[in-house]
Amino acid sequence: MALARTLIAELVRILGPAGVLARREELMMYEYDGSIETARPEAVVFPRSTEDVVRIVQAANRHDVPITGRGAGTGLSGGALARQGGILMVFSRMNRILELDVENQRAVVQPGVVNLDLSRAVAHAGLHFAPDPSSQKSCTIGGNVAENAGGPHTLAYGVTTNHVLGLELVLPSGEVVRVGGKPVDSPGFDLCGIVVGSEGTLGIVTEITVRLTRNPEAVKTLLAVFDRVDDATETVVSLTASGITPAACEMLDGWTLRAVEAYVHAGFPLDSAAVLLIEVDGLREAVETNAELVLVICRKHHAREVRAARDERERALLWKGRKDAFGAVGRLSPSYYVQDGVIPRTRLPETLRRIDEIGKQYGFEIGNIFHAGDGNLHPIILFDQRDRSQYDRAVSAASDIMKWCLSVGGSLTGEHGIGFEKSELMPLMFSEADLEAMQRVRRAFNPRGILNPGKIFPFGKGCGEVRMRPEPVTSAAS
Amino acid sequence: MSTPADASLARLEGIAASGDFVTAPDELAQYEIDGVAPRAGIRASSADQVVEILRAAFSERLAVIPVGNATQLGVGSPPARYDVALVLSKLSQRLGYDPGDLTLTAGAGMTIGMLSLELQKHGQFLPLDSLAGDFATVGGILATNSSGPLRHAYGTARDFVLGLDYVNGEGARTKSGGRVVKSVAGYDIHKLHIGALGSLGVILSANFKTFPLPATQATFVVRFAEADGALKLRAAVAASDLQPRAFDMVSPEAARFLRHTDAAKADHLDVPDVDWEDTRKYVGEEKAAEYKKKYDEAAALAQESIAQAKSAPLFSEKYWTVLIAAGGNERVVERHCRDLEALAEQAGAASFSEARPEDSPEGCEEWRWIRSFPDCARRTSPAAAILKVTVLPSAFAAVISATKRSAEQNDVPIAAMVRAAGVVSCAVTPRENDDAAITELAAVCEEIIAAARKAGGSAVIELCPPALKRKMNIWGVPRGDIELMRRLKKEFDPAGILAPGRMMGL
Repeated sequence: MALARTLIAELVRILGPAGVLARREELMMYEYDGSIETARPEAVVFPRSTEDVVRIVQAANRHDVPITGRGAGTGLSGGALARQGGILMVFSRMNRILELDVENQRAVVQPGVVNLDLSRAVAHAGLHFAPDPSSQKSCTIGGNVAENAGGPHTLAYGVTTNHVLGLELVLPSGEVVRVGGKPVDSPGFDLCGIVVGSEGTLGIVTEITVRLTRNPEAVKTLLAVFDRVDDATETVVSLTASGITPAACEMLDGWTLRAVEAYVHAGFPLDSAAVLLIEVDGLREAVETNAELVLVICRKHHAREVRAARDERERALLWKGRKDAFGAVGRLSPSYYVQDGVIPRTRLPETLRRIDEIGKQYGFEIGNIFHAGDGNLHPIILFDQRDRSQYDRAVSAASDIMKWCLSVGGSLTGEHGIGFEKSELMPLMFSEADLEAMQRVRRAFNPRGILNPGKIFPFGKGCGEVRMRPEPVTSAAS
Repeated sequence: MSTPADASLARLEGIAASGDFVTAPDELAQYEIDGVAPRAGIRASSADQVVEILRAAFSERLAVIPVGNATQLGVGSPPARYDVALVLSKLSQRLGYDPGDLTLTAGAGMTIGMLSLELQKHGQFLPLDSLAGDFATVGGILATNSSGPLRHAYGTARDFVLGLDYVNGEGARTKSGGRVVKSVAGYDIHKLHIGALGSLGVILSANFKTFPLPATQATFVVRFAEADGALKLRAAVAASDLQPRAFDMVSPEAARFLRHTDAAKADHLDVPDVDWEDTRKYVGEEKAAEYKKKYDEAAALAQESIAQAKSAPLFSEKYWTVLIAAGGNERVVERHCRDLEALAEQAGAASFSEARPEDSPEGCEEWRWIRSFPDCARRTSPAAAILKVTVLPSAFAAVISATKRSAEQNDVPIAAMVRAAGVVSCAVTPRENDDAAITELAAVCEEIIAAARKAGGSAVIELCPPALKRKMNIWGVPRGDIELMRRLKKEFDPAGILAPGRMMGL
């Protein structure tokens, strides 16, 4: 099925020939994102302004063609894939920072601004944008808003929704609406709150007002090394219960840290069973005391060694080990499948044991590298996609892990989103009535379902959605 | 004297336990909203009953307004229709608490006071130190999105409510979010219910992220001759490395009524009745006794503090008083003391003092007075109106001078309490309560709303006499997203039976 020539011509009239891709070989570049899914759009457009977006939406409406928004395509759940074809709207040309308000700690940005670029732009004023997904060098703030992105430092600072105050939206009707605002507590329903994390299914975000966060006075990054996985997970349980809220608390298990070490040379001991990367920040006085408390707790749980990064270079290296981990894994396995479950933090030790069992049961190596402090797991299932039976077993193993997470009161996704990767699993977490309520929200914003169709809701729940067979790919970035 | 309308009400009567369905006017008076009493009050004992009641109300088209302990019913527009007060104070169970995970599930009828007691035992707290006080219920606090001084460091309910269990306008029980600290599965519908005044659903319970109490706490009190100094200090602290837990600025006019609220009138503090028999049933003898003790203590304390109205010594009518709360380890608190004193001096403070050791936004006398700001305003004036102005901090000065001008030109006292997070509470306190006073009050409120708008923000009237609500739009200038709100309302409450008219007229 190809888009009507008249629609393509219309898109070219709106954006110029350089703003529209419609040839097969061009479209193939946009059939992937960071997930294991693929879907090819029928046209890719690059708007430069809200007016462009409005005109594209109006044209799509006339032709009854779906629209899917896309930032940098780093998402891990298929959110930025045109599952039902139609128009893929890429925001790489709407990448201007519109306003920096240092005094009030606000910034107004277009959706295509890269996450790290905003923090760099306000670094001179001692500020940053708090959500820090591992893909922050390339992911966009529009994408962060769509997925309600997290990151290691969201443990202390909160996820994207806690830092977004206002949005400009283009509704599927072509109306432009502002929700929220620059000040706090906008009167009325919290529409900004419902749109953040709605995976592009409620409106197309064309402008974002965010809160900027002051950089901490002091930071201390500790690496705790353990000979047993249980000791590492018990440490996380104790840390959480102790009331110290570290800025970040990340865990890498033995398999993962060895993979990372071979690639990044961050200094992780190769013979250990697990390491915790714990960062405390704040006032100097708080950091010193909290670092000592962390040390005591780690030792109580038999940490073999706890060392602090001596300088910014060492600190950056430890974090590089964490943030580039998926690249490292990619060198070792033909395919891998990253999970994103959440559990209550008190259930961490038994959960890692359970994941290990599931791996053994299906005959896979499962690596673990995750936001331990939030209970946000990222088990990585290593398999070979060329072997069909391995693929099926990998998907089954993933599903078993998710079911376990839910059985202990957890969630299907902590930060990657449902997309179309997990849409079929939604009924495991939500009842018919819960999903119906979500459908109603979607109906209020997006009654004909033309925005990012085929996402979030399980097959049969949407407006004539088509279930596509997912094809695994190797690349991913968390 | 049964009428057809009464027949529809009778259907509800069969749902509640005997004694939990009331129609006597003197009993219904406690559920009155802006002078409108419901035709019946029904106390639900379980989530299933709420579902049943709303299903019946949906089919009979009865207008239902959820009520907790009735501490904040004055917030919002007058009801367009009001058949039934659905009272949720019996849903007061703590449904789950995992101190090790810092998460908690509380029934909508649980009071903040009871919740705090449970949390304190584990060295934790919930930053819902709202103006409505310890007697307000979880459901009421969420429905009104009320916040207190601690929002400075911890944000508002939207930042720490993890999930919600609620019943929509057709009687469908639904949940959103989860019980873990991080989840992006599905839409964050719980955020829609926060501040919706029950117009999208009746909250049954909420999942919260809890917070560890700081080891040491202190309050710093800084006085300035002019607002300008206080604002300078705010800017300096915001640009510093300090991380205060709360930062409030109290105008001289606010200090006046905080100091001089007539103690004699304070005897009328209404402490809501709690059905202890019921509590015993849910939480057991021992817990119920403990809750009752805490409840009685809190009630006594509240009575006492109101009786001591004139002795809130740190507020002065001559000054802008800045209250700053700090917490952390001993050295962190010392650092705040040292740096704040230096910054205060640079900003031209008249005095700097420290209130220690146990004083905190939860306990300290001054914070409690700040939290009773609306109550004090209403005790001061027979026709007090309280506006919530939300602007960027850089616009505080413009809002303050606009209110000052309004006060002078209209010869009516206006007190301001400025929360550094971006909220200015303005209490307009006319001396009379006649038609002329209300007309004048409307003009003053319009001026403040216009000033907020000019300063890039907005203003809504949170509390005021019903007569004023009939005269003007308490929600300020209509917003461009009202049509979306209308569509959402239609989806959640197709028959328009949930708190009709209360939320922006929806």
